[in-house]
Amino acid sequence: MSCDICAMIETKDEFKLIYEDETCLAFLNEAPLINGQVMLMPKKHFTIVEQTPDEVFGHLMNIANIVSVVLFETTGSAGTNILINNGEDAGQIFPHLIINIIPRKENDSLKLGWEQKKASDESLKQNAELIKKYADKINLKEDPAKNKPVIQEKKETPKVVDAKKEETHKHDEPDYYIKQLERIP
Amino acid sequence: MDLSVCFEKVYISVFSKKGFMSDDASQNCVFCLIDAGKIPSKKIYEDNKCVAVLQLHPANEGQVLLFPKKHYPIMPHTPQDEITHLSIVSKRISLVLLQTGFCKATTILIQNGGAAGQQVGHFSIHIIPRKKNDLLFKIEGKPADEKELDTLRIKIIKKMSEMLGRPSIEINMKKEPEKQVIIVEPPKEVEQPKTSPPAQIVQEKIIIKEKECDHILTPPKKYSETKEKVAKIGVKKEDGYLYFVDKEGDISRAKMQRRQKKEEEIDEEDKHDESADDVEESYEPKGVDEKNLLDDISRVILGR
Repeated sequence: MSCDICAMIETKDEFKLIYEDETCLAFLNEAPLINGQVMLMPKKHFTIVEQTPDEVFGHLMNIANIVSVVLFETTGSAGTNILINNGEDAGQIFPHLIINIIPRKENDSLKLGWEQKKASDESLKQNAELIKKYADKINLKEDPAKNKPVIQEKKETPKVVDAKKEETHKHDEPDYYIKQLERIP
Repeated sequence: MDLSVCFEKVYISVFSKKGFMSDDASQNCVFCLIDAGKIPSKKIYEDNKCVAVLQLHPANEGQVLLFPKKHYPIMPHTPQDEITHLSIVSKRISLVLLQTGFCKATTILIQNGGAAGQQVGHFSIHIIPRKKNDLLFKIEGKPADEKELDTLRIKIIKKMSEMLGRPSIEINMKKEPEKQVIIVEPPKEVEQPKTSPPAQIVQEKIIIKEKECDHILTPPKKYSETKEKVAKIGVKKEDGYLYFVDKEGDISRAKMQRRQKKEEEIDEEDKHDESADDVEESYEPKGVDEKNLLDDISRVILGR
């Protein structure tokens, strides 16, 4: 895997660990918006939320909850933000799922909000119809992360087995194919 | 784990100002009213635990608001089951937004507290479709002071370990170089023999043993501190001679020249005679005759 974060997780050097268990890690961001910003990530490689299995994502959110409480008490903040940037267009820097937990204070001038402009009724209608088409097909029992295996480990099939299969399939074909296969050491 | 107990005081004080933590949530809370159907909304998804609705004031078109049907003011007040259920649903909704083609990326945001941007006192998750260069939710910051981070880190680890009831990180994971510690055991106490000797003798034995061990425990002293005078003789050293103590205990000297090696004994009583020091300095080998070979050898070696 060419993922920098997976390599970092293996070596476990040079970062300020806060929490660790079998499935995930959390550590302090060393270039944060505010001191105390935490990065939480699974140990296994998942690039985006849609690719993480349900159990793992649920576990991550519960731990993010605990971390937000701890940050609230230790940094003296008045609130916390939990933010997942899911995709390149969203500003995801590393191809590895990261949950950011950011402690907030009143009037801290962080731009994690947006202008409160009301959307037009037409656009709301159109969008609602479009989204409902796909949202009606939501099935909580089918996990999209498990149906579409993204990471496929290439299994090297041994050549000897293939040769035997070819032999069984090619009974009717001329003998010189079999002779060629027999030559393979 | 009931996290709501941890920090109720502060959150309640914050929310009570804005009227979020009200007992009559079903009548005052916007989301509870939406769920009840008393406020119009564009519902997208609904099940027995949660509801998803289109945001009226979105960051980008198509923003979805997901909230539980039960009234929980903030995330720490919601039980674990509900959080896992909501996270699974938010994952499905994010996938739906990608399928519609609004966007190629999404952001999932939770706001806990008024300072974090929460406007309604009811726990909710925002799922926001993102576009390139929309200048929203930038998390990159500036490098922080290491000392501050380290002190913070220690506080956080302590607090987390308290809450979890176990250490939050394994202490063995730290890769510090092992310092070799040399443990010097103090001398063992003297075991009192069965026949109890008088106390004085026993104490002397202890003192002696301690002295024996002193040379192990204390570093070796310098040569200048250990030397001591054994006898006063007053021999003046001259150049060209090597002075040494005989087997007999007398001080002797030998001239440091290749040709002649003469030992001269100087006793304490005898005076220093120059004649005694006369040695054949100039040496010329005479013709060696076979007849007088032994004589010649004796002359050469012994100087006679």
